[in-house]
Amino acid sequence: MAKIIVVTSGKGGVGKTTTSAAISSGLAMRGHKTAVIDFDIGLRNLDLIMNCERRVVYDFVNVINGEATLKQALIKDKRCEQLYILPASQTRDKDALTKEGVERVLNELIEHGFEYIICDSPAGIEHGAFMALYFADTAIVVSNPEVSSVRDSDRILGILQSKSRRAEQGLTVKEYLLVTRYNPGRVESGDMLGVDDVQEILSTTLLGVIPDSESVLKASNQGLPIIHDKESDAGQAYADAVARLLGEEVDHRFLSVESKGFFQRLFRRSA
Amino acid sequence: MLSANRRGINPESSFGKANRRLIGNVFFMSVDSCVAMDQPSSAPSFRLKGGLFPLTLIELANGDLQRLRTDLTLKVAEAPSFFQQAPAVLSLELFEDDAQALDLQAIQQLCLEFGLIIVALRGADEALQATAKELNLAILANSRTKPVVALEPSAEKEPSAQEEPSAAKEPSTQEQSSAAQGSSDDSEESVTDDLFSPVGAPALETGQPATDSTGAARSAPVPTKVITTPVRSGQQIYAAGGDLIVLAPVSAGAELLADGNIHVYGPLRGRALAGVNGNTEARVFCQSLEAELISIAGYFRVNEDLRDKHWKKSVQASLTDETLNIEPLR
Repeated sequence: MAKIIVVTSGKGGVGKTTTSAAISSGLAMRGHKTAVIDFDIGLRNLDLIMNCERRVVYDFVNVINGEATLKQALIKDKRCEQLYILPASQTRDKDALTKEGVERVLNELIEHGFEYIICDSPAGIEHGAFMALYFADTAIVVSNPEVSSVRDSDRILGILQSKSRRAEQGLTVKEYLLVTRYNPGRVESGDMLGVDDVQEILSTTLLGVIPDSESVLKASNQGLPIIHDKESDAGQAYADAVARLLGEEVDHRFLSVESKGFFQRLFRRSA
Repeated sequence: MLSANRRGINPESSFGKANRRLIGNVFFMSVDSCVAMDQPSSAPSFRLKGGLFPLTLIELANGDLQRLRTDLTLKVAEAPSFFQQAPAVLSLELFEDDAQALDLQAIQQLCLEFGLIIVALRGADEALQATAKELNLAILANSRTKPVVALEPSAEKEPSAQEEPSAAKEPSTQEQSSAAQGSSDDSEESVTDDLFSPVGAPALETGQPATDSTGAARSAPVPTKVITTPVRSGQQIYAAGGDLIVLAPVSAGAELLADGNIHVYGPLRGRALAGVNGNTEARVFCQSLEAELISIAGYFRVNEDLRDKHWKKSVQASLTDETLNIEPLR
């Protein structure tokens, strides 16, 4: 049974595309045949993060319009055997997405034996975001630990449970919360919302907490999904999140300030 | 932002819509916020307030002006004082003839002769709406069900018909607000200065006796609406005719509306408006008061005024003498 997972947030810049790239890579690394679709028509980004921008010929909108077959448009990831990317069109706008067209593409992917289909949603709650979440049966809501992001996440959760296809059928969408850019130090000093506060407001299942890390930016610029960086906190946290998505019980990590040794502190101060 | 919040409600908010109901009479509700609140030194040139007014509804059955004149003469003879400068809404929902042939201006003039001022038009098609605009009449949305006793709220998209009719009765709301202001210890912007209540003349509904402000008697009991999942920001839940029970958190930016009571078994962070059809007996109960706004029958308190000793406590809100009281639940 294929799973359609939307990665959404309402607010922009919280790490939806980074998360889509990491989660889809993580699922593929664990041997699941996975497709990741960029729904951000006109603001194509996923191909950069996945380092396949030089191999884009056809895109999602071409497939919807019947100008290319799905097979022609899908780009095979170079790092993961089981991962395919369906890039967004850069020259069109969100209106190019139709419910029928998106449904046809999703069904075709399922027929091709994809186990997981990750929909990378654009920001906002307009047509593009709506198309990305409409067919989802699971949602990963990405939120930063700050009030406006949390409120937007709350809004998108409401839309998921009232406007999606499953909601129309009287079913619920499985919802997960992923807190990104988490800085335990700033939480302790009171500058940032704690993960407990975020969860208290959103009252939903916590999939993971991704620590704020310079390695994320570095990996993005290199076109390497952060989950491949097994040394970094963020990469490990994403790997944990993928494990939880697959039903494993993994303790949450990186929630508190790591105690630094005396020399490390000394070194840091002088640096 | 904050000050605008406490003084009134965004006109787009459903608050106004929900209150703009039809129960025997047509009630008007206009809600808006105060202007120029950022400069406390210079007083704003005006302020907008909400009002809920009974209006006479004239349900026209046909376009025969001669018969209308005869019938109006008879009606006015019954209660002459009632027809002095009384605002009225012309409804074409029961209109049987060809509405195209209707001479709206003639009807307006005729009504005026009898002291009835037509302020708005309801149930008109597009062509007539255009004529109504030329005559400076407001357009009201059609009632969804039968026009006389409608328990459903009127349609979602209400055209901009809120302002005009309230102007005439504005002083009465003003009076109430100043009276309420005296009872509040808050200096200038008191919690109760935004009052909406049905005021004005009794109803005229084809010669029926006037109904009271709580609305018409309901025939069958309406089942309570029970919500078990979190109510998210931007969601709106309306329990028409009855109570609303929520067994989950209500997020900031969410809105609960009920004609009856509202119960929230969880934190209430959004807005809760009980008794939206004017039922002053309605109450709001919640496990943790963190609300943006609590309202009963249009009398409300906003977040700023709720952040006192009852904040984050289990409370009930009730209305006594036009004042919204918050008491702890024990």
